[in-house]
Amino acid sequence: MSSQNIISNYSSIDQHQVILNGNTLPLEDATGQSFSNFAKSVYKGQLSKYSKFYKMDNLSKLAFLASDLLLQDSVFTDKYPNDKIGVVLGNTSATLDTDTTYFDSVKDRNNYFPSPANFVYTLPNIMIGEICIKHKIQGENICLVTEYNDLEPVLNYANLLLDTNQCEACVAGFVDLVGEQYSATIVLIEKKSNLTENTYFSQNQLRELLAKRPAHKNVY
Amino acid sequence: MSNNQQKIVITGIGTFSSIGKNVEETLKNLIAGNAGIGKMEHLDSVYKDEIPVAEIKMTNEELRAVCGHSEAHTLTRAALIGLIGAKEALEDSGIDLDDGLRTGFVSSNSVGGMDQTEMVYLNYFKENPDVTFLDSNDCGAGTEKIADCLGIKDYVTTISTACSSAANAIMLGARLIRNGVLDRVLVGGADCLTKFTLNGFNTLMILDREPCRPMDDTRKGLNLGEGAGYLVIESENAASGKHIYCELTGYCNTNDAFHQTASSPEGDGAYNAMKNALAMSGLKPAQIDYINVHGTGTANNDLSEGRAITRLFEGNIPRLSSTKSYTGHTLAAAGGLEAVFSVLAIQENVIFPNLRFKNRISELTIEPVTQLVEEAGINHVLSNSFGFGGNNSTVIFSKVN
Amino acid sequence: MEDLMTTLKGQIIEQLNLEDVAVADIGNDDLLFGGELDLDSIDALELIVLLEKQHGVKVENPKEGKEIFKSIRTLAEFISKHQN
Repeated sequence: MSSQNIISNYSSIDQHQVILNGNTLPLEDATGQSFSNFAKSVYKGQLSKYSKFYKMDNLSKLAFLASDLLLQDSVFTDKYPNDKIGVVLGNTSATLDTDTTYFDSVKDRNNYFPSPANFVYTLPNIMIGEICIKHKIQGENICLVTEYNDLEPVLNYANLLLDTNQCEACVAGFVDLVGEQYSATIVLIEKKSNLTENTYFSQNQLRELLAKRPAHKNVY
Repeated sequence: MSNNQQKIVITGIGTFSSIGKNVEETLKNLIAGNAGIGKMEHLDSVYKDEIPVAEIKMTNEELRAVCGHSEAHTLTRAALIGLIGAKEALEDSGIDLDDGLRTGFVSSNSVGGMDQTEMVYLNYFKENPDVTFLDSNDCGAGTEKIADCLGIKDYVTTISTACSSAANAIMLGARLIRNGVLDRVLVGGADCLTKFTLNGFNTLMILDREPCRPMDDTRKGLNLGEGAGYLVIESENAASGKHIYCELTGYCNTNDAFHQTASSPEGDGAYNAMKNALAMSGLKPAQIDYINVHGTGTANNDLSEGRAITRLFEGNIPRLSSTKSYTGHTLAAAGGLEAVFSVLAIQENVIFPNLRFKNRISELTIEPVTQLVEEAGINHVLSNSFGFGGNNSTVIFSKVN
Repeated sequence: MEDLMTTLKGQIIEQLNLEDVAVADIGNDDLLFGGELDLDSIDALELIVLLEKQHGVKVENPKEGKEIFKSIRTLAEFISKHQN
């Protein structure tokens, strides 16, 4: 199964390093910066203006950055009907990062102002929503919350969507963030027969490339 | 190998909610038109006298006693409710977990152990906090514990896609069977009331201060509820010789790609989900006899869903109702509870009424069923579940001849 | 009133994370919704929180919000009227 599905493009963001299709993006040294500031500089330097970016929580920002780097030229999304593109993301910490922020806004009875904008981001699939809204992607979408930082179930699920023709292509990946610990990998999975370019990654090549990333500390 | 033609049948159902501790009691209340919405007694919120909820009138200790499992003391409220509902479905199906067939558990959840975490959180750094349940905070913890209690080992996973979660659990379960990974799967979802969700939905200003009025022109929002709804789905082969409630003939999930919390004005995501689920089932829109709508009671959802239904069913609108008028919105359990209600509609050949409906939504021409319909001629039921993030799912159940 | 309007602009930029917008970019009579700021329904809810938190003024009915949140001026007028 799935030998016909390949990775046409991938991105990963770990420890302030952005890798696109195996190449590290030449960014200014961001050592010591908060994720927020780092995310802002990547957005400003690499992506076109999208005012909703600043409204997202950090998890969604991370998912958005990693996916927008691949999708912003619309080549991928233009190739397929909107409702035939799926999004499958995995994650281990769900929205713990924003759960805490939200809770901080309600913990003091004398200064009790829960934020509706924060509350919205206390759902892990919201990051998928952000990607779908930006790129008008309307196919099946799912967020798999797993115990370990593991791309395999995500790839399996995406392969299944393609193999059963539920989707023609898929945005898939793993996006996790708590505080300053984070990791994101996004891949575009397509059927080899739909590809006109000769450059792509097999799923095994992807695994090897990802193994070389800076190690992600699991928060647990 | 993947086999999209393979029949998926339902052999067990279980529910636990404000309208009943099991399927029998639930069915009785659905037929009698008894809603479970009222004043909160167990959730300790400043909104106690202001916001009605559909609460299970039992303390956690009482729930633990009902579970009767030696590990029950390690379970938080959502997991307790889930275990009770899931156990009923498993027992109803008569599955023998040691018969050599592969059994999975796909359960959905949105609050995890938040009900316990939020009690510890405020004083965590002040006093000696009770951290018994802290490792149950994440959504998957409850699923794992329920699976352990039930003895399901072959495959266990959690789905958390907000209010469409349980419908997605049903879909995933069906696919695991069709792809030969499992022979049968216990699917559904469970959630409990928490201050976290109550405050959150309150800030979104979509909580009705009265019992909710889904699909009504004067609707003012939803009521939150708690509960669990589970089904045992099996491959036709695994189910051979068993009582079969009905067949799962279609499912689809889409993204509305419009807004994080609001549905698109024309309900594009809902339309696509229903359309593609119908295509999978091989049914024409006119063959659907009843729609269990998502129908939360918010201004936005009911209008958008109503428009999508009007567009897809073109002048041939099936009878429809929102059973959230009984159970409130049970979030990640809603798709599971409503799937069981859909199965019951087929089994009992009835349509449960949409309670408290008076006025047709001014922008629409459709109205829900307001009285129990008996001898309803039900062959195919479509159930919608839509969630924040634009996550829209439809499942279709069909009578087995 | 002018002072209140300037204060409001700063508060809105901060509360709604309008990072690319400066106080000077928002006109007193510019449409807040459906205009260049591209605000949505969640922003409207955040504005309700802002009014209560920073100005002690409550908006009970979200439908009222439409008129109140039309522009910086209507917002300021609403606050002045209800604070007194």
